[in-house]
Amino acid sequence: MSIRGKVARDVTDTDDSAERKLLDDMLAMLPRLRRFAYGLTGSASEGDDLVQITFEKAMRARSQWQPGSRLDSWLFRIAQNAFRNELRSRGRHAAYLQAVEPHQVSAVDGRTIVDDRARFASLRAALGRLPDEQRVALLLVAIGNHSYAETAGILELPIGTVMSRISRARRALRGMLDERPEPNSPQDAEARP
Amino acid sequence: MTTPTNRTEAEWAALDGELDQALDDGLDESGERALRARIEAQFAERRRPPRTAAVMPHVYRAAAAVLLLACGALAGYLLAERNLEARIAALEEGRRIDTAAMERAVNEALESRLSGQTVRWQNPATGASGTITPVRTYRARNGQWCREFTRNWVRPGGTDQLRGIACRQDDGRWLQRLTLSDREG
Repeated sequence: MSIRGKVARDVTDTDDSAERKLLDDMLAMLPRLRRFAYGLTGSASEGDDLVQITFEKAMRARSQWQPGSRLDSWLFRIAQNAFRNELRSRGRHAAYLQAVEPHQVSAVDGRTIVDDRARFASLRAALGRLPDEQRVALLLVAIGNHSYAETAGILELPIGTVMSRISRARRALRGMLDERPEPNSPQDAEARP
Repeated sequence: MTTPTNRTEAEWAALDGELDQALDDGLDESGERALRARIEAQFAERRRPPRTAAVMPHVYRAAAAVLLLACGALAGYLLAERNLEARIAALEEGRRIDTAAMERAVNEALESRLSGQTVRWQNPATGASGTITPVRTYRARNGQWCREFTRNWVRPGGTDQLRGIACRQDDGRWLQRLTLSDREG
């Protein structure tokens, strides 16, 4: 075999296996990225589309990732940039649709929704009512397991700004959860089937 | 003096954990499998076609050959790059059209169909389709009419089943107010 042929084959083999390895490492982070994207977009299907776009962009820009640095941080950064661009290009929120207080819709068919799942649904709805910039910062910490400093790096913001956004986000979430009325309280009785 | 701060940090950490659980609760594993399959398919597709290795007669020209190869690779890379851009754009455009069709169908179903009656939509361009069925109607405390509905969104990658509640705005638009469940399969 000519030298050129050999060089070409070696380069291709190394490229392919390195690419495969990178993809496998990325796929290991899929569940966390899904939760992050779901939290950002407010919809499972929009979130999964965002994750797919994130993978596509990451594989395309894989040379920009420095081995040894946190792969997950790099992916979260790509995901949040894609989300921001998407929002800007569409000029509207995807699924969050500026919801009213969830407890205003308090009973369905006479049954009051009471269980963890309702609490989780309330929490997701409350998350959806946060301003985008607060939600992104909080999710990078809560789902992405990033420190405030790492989050500031990803968002390219001063750490003080990030900390105050996260703190406001958490207080708002706590407040929205706490103002949920007790299940079965008389005021819920007016909903009609 | 550090105790109150610590307690607050711990409380916030608990809230973060609950948020993580809440998001996990809204997703399911079959959706994850479908997404994994989509990503694998995308990866298989984006792999560059094998480069053809032309035979060079003289070893001393190896350096020039490598240079040529690099130029070819660059050209191929740029071409692939363009294709990828186009694919991402097509993906986003298709989804935008699907979403618009779905939103029109939701509004029609909630505005003018009885509970139990289904409205369908489809987009042959992306292969996506969906159904929206109002389930029941009731009145929220603020006087708005609200309807619980189910929405199926069938895409080549899988089906997204959502159950939610939307309320009618004064201008006749229905806005989704609550997601009761959202699963993929």
